[in-house]
Amino acid sequence: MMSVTELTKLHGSPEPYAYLDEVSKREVRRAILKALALPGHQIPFSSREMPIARGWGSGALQVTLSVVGPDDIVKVIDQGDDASLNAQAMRSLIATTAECEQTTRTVEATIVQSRHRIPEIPLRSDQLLVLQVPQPDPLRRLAGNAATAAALHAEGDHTLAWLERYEDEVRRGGGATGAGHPVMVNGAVLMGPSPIPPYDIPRLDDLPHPVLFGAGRLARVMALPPHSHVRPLSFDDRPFLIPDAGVACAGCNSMTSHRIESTVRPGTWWCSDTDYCFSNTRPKS
Amino acid sequence: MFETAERLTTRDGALDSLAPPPPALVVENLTKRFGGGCPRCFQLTGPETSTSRCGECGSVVALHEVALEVGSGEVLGVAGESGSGKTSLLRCLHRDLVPETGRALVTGVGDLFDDSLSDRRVHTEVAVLVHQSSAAAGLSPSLSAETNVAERLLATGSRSFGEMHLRVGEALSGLEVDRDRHANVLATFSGGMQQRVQLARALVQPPPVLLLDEPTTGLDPSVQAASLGLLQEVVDDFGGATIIVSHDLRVLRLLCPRITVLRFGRIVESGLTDQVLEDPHHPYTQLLVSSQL
Amino acid sequence: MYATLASSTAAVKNARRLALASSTQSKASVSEQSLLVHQICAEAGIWAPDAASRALEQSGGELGRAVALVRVWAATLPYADAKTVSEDDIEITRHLSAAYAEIPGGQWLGPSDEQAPRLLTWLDHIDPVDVESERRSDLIAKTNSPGAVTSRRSDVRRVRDLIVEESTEPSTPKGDGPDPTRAALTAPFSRLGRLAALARSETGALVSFSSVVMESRREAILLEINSSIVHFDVAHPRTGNQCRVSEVPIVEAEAVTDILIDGRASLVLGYGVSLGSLERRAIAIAVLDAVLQDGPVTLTLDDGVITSAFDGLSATGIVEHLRLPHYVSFAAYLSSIENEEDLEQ
Repeated sequence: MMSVTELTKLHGSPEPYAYLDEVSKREVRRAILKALALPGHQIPFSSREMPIARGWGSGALQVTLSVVGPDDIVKVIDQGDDASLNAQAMRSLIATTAECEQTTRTVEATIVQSRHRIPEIPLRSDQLLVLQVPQPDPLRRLAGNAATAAALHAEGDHTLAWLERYEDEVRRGGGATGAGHPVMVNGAVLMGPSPIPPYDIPRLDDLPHPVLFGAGRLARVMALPPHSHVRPLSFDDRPFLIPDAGVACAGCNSMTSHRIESTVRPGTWWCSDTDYCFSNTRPKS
Repeated sequence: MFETAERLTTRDGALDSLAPPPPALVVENLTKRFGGGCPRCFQLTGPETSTSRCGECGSVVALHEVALEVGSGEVLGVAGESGSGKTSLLRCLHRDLVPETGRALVTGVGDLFDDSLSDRRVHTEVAVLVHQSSAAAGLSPSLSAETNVAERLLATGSRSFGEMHLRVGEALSGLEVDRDRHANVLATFSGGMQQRVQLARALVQPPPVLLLDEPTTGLDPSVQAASLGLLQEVVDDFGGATIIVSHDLRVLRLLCPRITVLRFGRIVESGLTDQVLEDPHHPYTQLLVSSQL
Repeated sequence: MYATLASSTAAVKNARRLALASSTQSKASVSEQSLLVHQICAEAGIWAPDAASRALEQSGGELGRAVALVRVWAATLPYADAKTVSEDDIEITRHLSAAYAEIPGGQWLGPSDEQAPRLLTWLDHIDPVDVESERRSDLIAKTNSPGAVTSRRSDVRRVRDLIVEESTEPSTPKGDGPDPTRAALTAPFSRLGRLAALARSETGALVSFSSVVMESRREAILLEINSSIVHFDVAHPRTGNQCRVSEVPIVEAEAVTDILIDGRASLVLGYGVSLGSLERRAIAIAVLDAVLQDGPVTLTLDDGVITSAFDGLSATGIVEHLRLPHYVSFAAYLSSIENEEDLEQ
């Protein structure tokens, strides 16, 4: 095992390896370990100012930089897209400072950092998913302030979140909420899974790999260790429904992926996960 | 309205329930002061000195050693002018205020002021408040009537939407809230209709204690009679302990077989409503009766 | 948003070159090109970069005083009514949407270095980027992913038109609004009055307050953000002919937030415009405008809200992150609204 300081010496650079200094990394790692021990809980950490704007993935970036090593292969997506500017900028920052490989292919990556999507191709147990989180607390807005929300979490009182579900049922007959539908982790902890679409919510359950959530602006880390039990918050007699376009992806004909309608060519739908779409059309090697 | 009153007071059975039922709520030694307080506060305040403000330290003695009992299915009226402490009493029993001393024992629950009970549990499971302001009663004006009523079911762990929808619908319809309005946002309801939603919220899963704060104040006079009739039915059917606070003796006479009169934070007179109002002993009660009835 | 840009890294490179060219052209540390000057002009409510940089110098860099100097100076200037700006007078240099992956006219980056890492450099000399060899307008065109088609506002479809079928509240008001320097605004403000007042509000306050109101919303999506050059015409005092007197950079933003209309989930559209090129001003105004259309805002200002809203980086982060693509979550939200409409029909 090599310490970060040793790695730094090895690279002969006066700047810390993987951007963050060792003390900062240690603190993030400690928060990650705590988060893994308490699945779904929001663990505070002293979020550093990062070279990207707060709210642009600075939390997930700190998580990624704290766990990345020179043997890693990093993939960063935004809305499922590797080529999105923000994703490109972060991927290159990680790969440059950590001196590791980068990829756009889900199957090749060891760490996938993502904003608002879970990759279409299921990750393996040797891969890590890091999600960017703008607002980690699903009760914060409903309770009106963070202190009340924290007390409600502590008491296991999730009534406010249920009220919102009930209101959704009354108003629109349930169905899909917008992005970031709240979930129950291991039947006990209410967690906001970051603004992933309804399609991705059931896919959080029983994953073979850990998922780490980083919220930089609000300085929280959350985690789902492998095989966590994750259920969307929905009534016993109202299954969690996922809206489906019913139209195949214009790129790869997939009928099962999460698709987004094109605004330029209305009526055509495309996979939001670009790598998945390419890999369906790419000749098999 | 007067006609209704006549009919309701002479209705059968009102006098049969004279024997007190076993207490469902026992309040003991309840004292609440606003301000720093000093050793002479209680001596310098009260009906004798005609003030609730301590001349020595300026603190207000809202309640001093108040004790009362309400049986299951019983309705107790609390009368008094503003400053009498009746609102403080209600706020203590809803645990919006924490008293200095005292207990409020609820059968099957324990002491209402016990720290191990969360405020939300008190509000949703123990003491439901019906208040002029829906927000003060814990309802959310931006949610639908139905969701507001369902909250108490959700808070106690109901997770079947269909079953809750049915029960909430029945509770609202039972209080004459039109079915096509159940999904409307509470803020779009009139004061009288909001009160019905609040009552439905209480009745959908009857709590041990029901608290009604000035139930007719703020209502349009044209709906007061109807509201009183409805309240009468609700409190008669309600199986727990009901406390109604009002400055209006006519309302209390209609709804409550027993009455307690508060002045400057002290109980000055208690008894069967008819007896107290026919033959008031305390000079203050006499004043109240002569000015109102 | 920048999904379609993605394929063309050239667009990104050109955007960065343009941005660098703007910042390295400056001779002094504080120049006419400086965004600080843009900010002073915006908060003073007058596009006068010469006056603003003079004010900045004379105030010793104290921003509040510099804004005051410019406003005081402008208060007694002769006033001429300009012709109401039409869409033909607006030339777009940057055109982006966070709500959709692709938009009519293309995602168009313009001068932009937002993706460059925020790292302080200790190099004493930065090589100026020379874009003079290439015409600036050509270079701007090259920051559009599918290649520039047109740049006139009147020729570029508004992103909001894509969601007209969804329930949206009234669109952007047209015509002349009241000028807060010439008329006392009286409550209740007209929407144009509010927008005019917000357009010259203090930047930090706009960002703080919009960050607070965003926390209380389910959704806030940036439909469109544009940087443009506006041409102003004034009638000649003798001949009455329209004369072009100024070319002024502006930023426009349109944002939507969730709203209940008659108890039904819908979207409300907010518009923001600011002089200069500070995008967070326009975004913040658009968010505030949207939320205010829902009526007065009640805020709980506890220490948590205050401290996060008043931390400049944190508030700026939440406001500026609206520029990031949100098309997946926006699609999810639209689909949930449609769901509700279907139920009603």
